[in-house]
Amino acid sequence: MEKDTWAPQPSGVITGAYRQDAALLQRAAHAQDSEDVVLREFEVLGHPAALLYVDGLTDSQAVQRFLLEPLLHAAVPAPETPLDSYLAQTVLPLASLSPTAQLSSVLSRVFSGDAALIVDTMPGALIADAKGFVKRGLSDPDNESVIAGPHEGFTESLRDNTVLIRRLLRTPALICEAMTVGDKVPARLCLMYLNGIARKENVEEMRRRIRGCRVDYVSSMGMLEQLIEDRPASLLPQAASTERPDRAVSFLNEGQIVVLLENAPQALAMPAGILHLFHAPDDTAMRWQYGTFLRLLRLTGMLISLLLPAVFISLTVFHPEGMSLSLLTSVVESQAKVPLTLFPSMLIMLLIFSLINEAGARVPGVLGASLSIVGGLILGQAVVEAELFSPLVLIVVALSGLGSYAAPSFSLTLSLRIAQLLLVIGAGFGGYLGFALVLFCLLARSAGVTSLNQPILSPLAPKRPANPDAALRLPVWRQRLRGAIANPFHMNRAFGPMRAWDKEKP
Amino acid sequence: MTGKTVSSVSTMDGLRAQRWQALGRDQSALAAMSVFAQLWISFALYLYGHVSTPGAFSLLLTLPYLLLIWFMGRFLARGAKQGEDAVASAVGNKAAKAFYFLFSLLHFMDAQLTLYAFCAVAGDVMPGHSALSTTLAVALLCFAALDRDPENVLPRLARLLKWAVGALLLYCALIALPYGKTAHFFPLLGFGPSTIGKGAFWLCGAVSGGVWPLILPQSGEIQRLMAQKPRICLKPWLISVGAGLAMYGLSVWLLPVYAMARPQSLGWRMLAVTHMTPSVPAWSMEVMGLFLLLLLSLAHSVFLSAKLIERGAGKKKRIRFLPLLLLLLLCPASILKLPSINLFLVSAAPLRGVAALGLLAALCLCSLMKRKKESAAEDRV
Repeated sequence: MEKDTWAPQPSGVITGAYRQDAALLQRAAHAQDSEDVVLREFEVLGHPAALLYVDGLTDSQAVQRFLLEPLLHAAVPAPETPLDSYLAQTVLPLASLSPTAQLSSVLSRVFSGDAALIVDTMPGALIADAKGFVKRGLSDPDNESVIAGPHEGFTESLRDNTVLIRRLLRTPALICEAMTVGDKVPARLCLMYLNGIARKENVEEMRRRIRGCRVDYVSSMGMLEQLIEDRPASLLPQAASTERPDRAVSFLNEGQIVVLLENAPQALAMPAGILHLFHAPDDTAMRWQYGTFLRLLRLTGMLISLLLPAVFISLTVFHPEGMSLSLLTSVVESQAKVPLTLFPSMLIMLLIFSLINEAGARVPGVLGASLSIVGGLILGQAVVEAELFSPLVLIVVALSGLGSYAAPSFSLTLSLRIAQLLLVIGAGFGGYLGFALVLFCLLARSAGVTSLNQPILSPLAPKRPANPDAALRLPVWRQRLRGAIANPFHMNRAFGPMRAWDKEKP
Repeated sequence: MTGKTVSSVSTMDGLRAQRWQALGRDQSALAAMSVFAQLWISFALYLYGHVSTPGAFSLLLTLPYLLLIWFMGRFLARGAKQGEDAVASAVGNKAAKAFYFLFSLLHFMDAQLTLYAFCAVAGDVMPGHSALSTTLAVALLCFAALDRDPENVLPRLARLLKWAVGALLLYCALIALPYGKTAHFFPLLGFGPSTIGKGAFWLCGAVSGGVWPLILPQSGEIQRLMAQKPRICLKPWLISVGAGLAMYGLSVWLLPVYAMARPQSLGWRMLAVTHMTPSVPAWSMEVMGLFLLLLLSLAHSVFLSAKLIERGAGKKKRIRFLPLLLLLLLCPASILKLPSINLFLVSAAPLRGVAALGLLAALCLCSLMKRKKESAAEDRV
């Protein structure tokens, strides 16, 4: 086996011998090669000292005002006062200042935006929190827009994201554990959970999985999700991803564990069930009648998306006796001049529809409208007029595409599309027989999928105690339980009547 | 108003117990669906042609048989100590292995019959289909779908499918209702009481298949649950018999005696209800519902058979490719298309009931003798 010799953060210790330490830092941080890595040398109380930071990652004003100026103008301490504690307690007016001697730790902090101070005769370095890099402001989450409910989304800054959650959940029970993932270039992440609600076993399992990721660098939340999920071969996602702090808070309240990763504008919640993927963020914010109506619409759309193309192919190709005469006549008439048979037509149109979607997601926003005109209108009309495809096929594909947009989770939409293709292939080869076989196979595979060792289809299968909040969204005052999938410590969210005032006399 | 959604579970043990109960209920649903599938096959294989209009009476006559088996199963489950295997505790470990192989054979036969019916329905729905490709596709897809953790996946699947299959079949039934006639119920006793008795004998073979998952559960916890709450095992039988009665009643309501008795293919008879209904969507619904039901029943029988063989062989770990092997072993009967094999299957099918009863009676007898010996030894002490 090839031996891995690349070590981006070499080992070593800051000893207090200034010349050696400065040379070590310069070499390890590649300060001479990298233009933005600054090693600023000066004198503190007659001792040679240096400040190591990355220009642009640190706030230059903070470095100037709270580090350099106080250090250059520091008064002479009382005799025998240790230099590090004198600097930390008397000279430097910074909220976060921590000593460390390990070179790897110093480099990790410096390249996260902190500044490291080394002084001759002072063993170890003082790390000052002086982060000040450019970051995006809060904005409406693009992929989870809502009608009712808050409009703030996560950003790429880990700390901002933890603040967004903490602002909504102001309790000391909210634990925010710091961890890193990635062997060579560790990325910071936060494991958040509600102490007393989340199961310790689940938290420990999450820690174990994150610690067990053997990869040099984790670049995105999607990558982390694939590294820690139970069944990578499954079509269904096994974690709920959200861009919304309010949704992350609702996951925390259910006893789930939320992971936030540096540079990722999403939170990942585990264990997650199929219902977490089916529910939209503003379902709870609406009155129950509206929420239920929208959910039923969504469910119908998803079923149409999944089943309609396969049923259409089964009926038209293999079982025309299962159609009414008028429908059969339209199918035959529309298909009469088309060179392709229905099964390949359907497959090609489904792929074209997916292509338009993919292209729409990649093109710059300005071209989006043009793309939809070219893809949807011109192409659709042209293929029908050129008699390449039957208009019925287009109608079925359009309806199923519309239905797939009803799924609130992007991962669920994609898994629906893949399942839809598999069902169409099954139906194309064996009519209802092939359709039933593939459907059975997909259902069985889904029933075996787990998220953090909990069956993803619960509370539907297996049955678990749950709120009346699955396909229907019944009144909030009937929803007294936390989701059982996370095995929360305290299952009940409320004891006694939720609308207590209703029973009281005014 | 406190609503119904309040959990009484506050401890980890309570949570575990609740989950075992849920698994027990899902196992019951699986057993009920398997028994219903076997009943449906038996209706088409024997009852429509030989018993005709009073087939529902035959089904009612199976109730004493079911109750007898239930009492025996309960007796066995109660005799086993905590965490102990009910069969091994009755007859000892060595003899238990032989029993497991025999039980496994019964399930294998269920699977054969189900595949036979599945291919027949596929033949009716898609004339000219290849039995070989159908059986191979069924074998490979079933194995691929249930390769991991079938003990948990199958009950979950049953829980999901019971609503889907139930809704599809109920829709067909509701659509079909206006097309029946009360006159079809006559002659009320069909070809006479003896044929009704023979029909009951046939159906005992069909209903016995669901017994074993409940008497020989895969885990000690469920066995304990069955011993403590025996109604969980009785429920699936009653539900499947009730569904079978409704199904048979609907068939009689729609089919005149001569249509029932007329020689027809097995596939036609399996789909008889919609053949007599002019509704177009009802046919699609029934075909899909029946396919899913038969697939579930087939997978259940095969995986249970494999499980029992593993137990008989004394393997604690799962033999991964055993279900696939069994599924492929199912092929010859459907590929060879030899009428003698199918005839053998059909004529041996009713004997499953006798075999099940005999095996269970032997187990109970052994268990009783063992308990008497133990109590005598205790008295002496």
